[in-house]
Amino acid sequence: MRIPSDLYQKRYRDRRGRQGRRSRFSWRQSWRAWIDKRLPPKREQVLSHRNIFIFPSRAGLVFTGLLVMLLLVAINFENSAIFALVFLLGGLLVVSILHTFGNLMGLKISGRTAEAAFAGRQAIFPIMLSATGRQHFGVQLSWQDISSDRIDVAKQSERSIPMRFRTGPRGICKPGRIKVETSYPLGLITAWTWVDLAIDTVVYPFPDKSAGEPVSQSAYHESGVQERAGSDDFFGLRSYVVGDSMRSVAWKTFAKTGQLSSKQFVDYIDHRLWLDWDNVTGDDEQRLQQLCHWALVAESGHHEYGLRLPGVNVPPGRGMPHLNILLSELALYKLPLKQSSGSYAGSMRQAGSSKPSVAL
Amino acid sequence: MSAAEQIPRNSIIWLLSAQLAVIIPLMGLMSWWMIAFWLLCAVWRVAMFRGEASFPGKIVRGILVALGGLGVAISFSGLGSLEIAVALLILAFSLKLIEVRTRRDMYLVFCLALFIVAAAFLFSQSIFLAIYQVFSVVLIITAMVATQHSLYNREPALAIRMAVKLVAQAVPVMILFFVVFPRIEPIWSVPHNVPSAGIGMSDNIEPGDIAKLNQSDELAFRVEFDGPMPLRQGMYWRGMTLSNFDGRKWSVGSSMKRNSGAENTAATYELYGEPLRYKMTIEPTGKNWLFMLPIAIPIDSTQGSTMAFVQTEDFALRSVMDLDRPVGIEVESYVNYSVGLDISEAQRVENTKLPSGFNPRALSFSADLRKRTDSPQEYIDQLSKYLIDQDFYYTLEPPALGRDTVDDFIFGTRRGYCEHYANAFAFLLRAANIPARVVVGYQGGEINPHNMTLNVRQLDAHAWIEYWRAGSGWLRLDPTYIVAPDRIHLGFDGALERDSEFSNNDLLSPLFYRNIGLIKALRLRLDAINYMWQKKVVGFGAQEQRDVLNDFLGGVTSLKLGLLVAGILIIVLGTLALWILWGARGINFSPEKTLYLKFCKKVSARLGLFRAKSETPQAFAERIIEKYPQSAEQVRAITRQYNEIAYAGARSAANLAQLKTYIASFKPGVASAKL
Repeated sequence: MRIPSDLYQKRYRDRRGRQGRRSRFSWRQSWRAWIDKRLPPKREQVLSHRNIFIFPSRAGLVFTGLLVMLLLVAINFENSAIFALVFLLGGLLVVSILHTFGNLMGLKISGRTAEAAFAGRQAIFPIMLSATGRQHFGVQLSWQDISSDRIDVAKQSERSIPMRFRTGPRGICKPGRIKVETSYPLGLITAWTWVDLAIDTVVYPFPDKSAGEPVSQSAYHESGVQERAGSDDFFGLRSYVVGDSMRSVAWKTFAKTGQLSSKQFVDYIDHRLWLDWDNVTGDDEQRLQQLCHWALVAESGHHEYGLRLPGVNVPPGRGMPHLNILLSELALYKLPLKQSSGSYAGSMRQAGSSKPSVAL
Repeated sequence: MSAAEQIPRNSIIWLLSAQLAVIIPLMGLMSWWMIAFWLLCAVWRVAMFRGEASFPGKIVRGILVALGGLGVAISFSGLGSLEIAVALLILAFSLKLIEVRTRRDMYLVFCLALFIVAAAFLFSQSIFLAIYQVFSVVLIITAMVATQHSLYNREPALAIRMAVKLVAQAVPVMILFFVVFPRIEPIWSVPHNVPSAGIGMSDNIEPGDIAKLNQSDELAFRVEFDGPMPLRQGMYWRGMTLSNFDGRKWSVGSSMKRNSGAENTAATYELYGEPLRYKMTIEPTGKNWLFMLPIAIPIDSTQGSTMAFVQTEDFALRSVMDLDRPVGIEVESYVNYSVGLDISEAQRVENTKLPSGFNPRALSFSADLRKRTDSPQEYIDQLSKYLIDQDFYYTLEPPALGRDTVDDFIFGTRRGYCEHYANAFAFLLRAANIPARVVVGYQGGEINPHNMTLNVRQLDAHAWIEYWRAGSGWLRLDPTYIVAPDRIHLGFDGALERDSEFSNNDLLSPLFYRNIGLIKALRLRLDAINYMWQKKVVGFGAQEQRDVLNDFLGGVTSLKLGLLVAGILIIVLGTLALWILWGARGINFSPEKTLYLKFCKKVSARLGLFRAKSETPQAFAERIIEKYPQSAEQVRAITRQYNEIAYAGARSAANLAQLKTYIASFKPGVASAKL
């Protein structure tokens, strides 16, 4: 479950490194700038001649080689039938350029925000392919080194493709450009485009299991007086006093010992758990990973839990929405966010329970 | 292997059918074990496909390659390099079948398949093969298309429909390039495929040789006359003269080996009258003899650059190179001629030589006849009379002859075939010291009324003799004509039709069916088509290309040619592009819908309200008005108008124009005083 820390470190460093390199000229940078300008990020994109690139595929180059060979055979044997065959195949190659191009034209691609994921794990982004005017065959989506199957989209229908994406360090993960390609019909020509669907997801820190059980500063453990008689939790037994309710008599004990005892119940004044920055050790990232683990443990316990980070205070609560809010705070802690509408976690808080749960 | 590289199942099925289609035309070339080899691989592949077998390991593959190589080495040891290359290609092709795992591997098999399609054309370029190979290509393309489909595509017909469409669209490009692509000289010389031995005339004959040829209806050559066609019985397509006689066998003599025009030849001749002009298309024989109406002189301008012809001392034509592909040649024949007016002593000796110890009865018969006649001409007349008077028959199935072929024939069987008569006649003339030789060639031919060409087939093979007479030179004499004039008047087929005695009653023989009315008509029709194909397509070379382009462009310049190519390409591909891209453009909305969508766009751009897909125009309008009550009037008007047109059947130009002005003047979020 745990990602190797060196991988984690590498990713983290990469991110910083990229920022450091930004000042210098690089091909990658200028390429990015060019394509960002040409194909700006948009939730929904319709492919057209403005955003489709086209080039012979590897098979197409091999095929061209075959044509040259056959042409030589035709010339040397002065064989008209082979000449005709070569030109027929050449014609097919040319015609397939148009068909391949047409196969992407008019395809609508849209993305939705993925469910949150833990750092280094895969987030699943649902990508929608919709066909309006025509059917599209053998369309393939890819990013990183992950690619989808070839997908056929029938006329006026939609296909949702769950695209996995390996997330980097905690924070907001933007998968960036997704490659949409097709070699249909002959596989000799590839048409493709990179579209940025402006989708993102939040990436939680990867839980550090070595953190063990949550340590809480709740008053109960330190003062021992923040309790009062109540009916919530079993506290202990004492000798029966006349007037005690018959319901509180410990009948099992009576059966064993022959003595009447009363069960004592107490209500805790504050048995809420505070996951506190000060209770974990290490550098920022390590602390966040431990807190993340704690939060998951706390959610599976019975108590409400809250989070205290320097400058952040999430009041105790329970349930999946609460957990997600809390994990989002961990994910975004100290990260500069470009979003104008406050912190990402803030917007999540507004969204409330609409955020689905996380599977570890 | 990632799922994306997996091969869709449909495409394996298409590939198998494409492979079978590709191999079929080469069946004749392949040995039985190669077909078994392919079948093994195919069955294996199907088993893998069904999950009953796994991919073969390295060792198994190694063994298969070694076995295949050994098999080719053994069964193709006597054959040309071309056959071996094709055999190896087919082996590789079969083996690759059990090796393909990914889509990328598939493309190697596709390329091999296309290469084999081309290889089949090296052995034949007939129109029937060409049509068949279009079908093969469609299957290969179908397999390619199926490879590109989704793994879950369950509609195999989609792929073939696409393939047919693609091939049909590629045809105009093919035709264009076929016509304009420059036909350049071969870059290096290549081994040509030589037709299997046994078909075609050989340069020596024994009685029985030509009868074998006559079993075949394979085409020898076609002739297209410039003017009217001469009578068929006059058409003796003269090949070789056989002067050398060893008692049983006639073979090419010394004068056939010398070229006319060389020193010390007796090649003097006189030609009279107007020549016949005709064009011949000669099927490859692997030998260099040409069969012409004597005396034939090739017309220089039509000689292909790679073809050169030589006339022998006997006025036969020989090509310098062996005929290993169809050759077109245009010639002029002077059918009135006299040749060899003064015969050299050496020639006289050679053409009267009889090895001693053969045919004693014939020799004494000849001596007896000579005593009764005064001149050589009378001797010949008497001999002819003897053939007619006695009970001689012309038959395809003569009884076997012993050592003394002439004795056995004249005094024994009396049933024979053209070479029996030629053999006997030449022998008896030589016995009387008249120079005589056997000539082999073809007689007559079949006229195809559809295109007025004369098709000469192997079954028209014939043998006759030439004898020398002082003052006239060499003269033709056809003893078969004396015995069976029908054979000459009506041709081989005609003789068969009229006289059941000639018939070959073997039901399995293709000759048996040649003349059944309907089949004959069909055969001639197909033949005309095939000839057209041979002439216009197969024979389309540099010269034909110049002619066609000249006709079309009126003088070929690179500018005109460039414009032609560019123009046709633009028209063809442009039409196609428009068609494809038009189809991709999206749904064609009705005019009111287009206008309404414009309105929605305006709202979303200025007010930030998007119409949900399921939202009716009315509901959307309410939503806009709720947020922007100041626009209520305009929004209601537009929505009402749209609903009227779209759903209440009020579509008219006026209403549409009204909607258009409403939407054009709509200012989102701004109250309008009048609308």
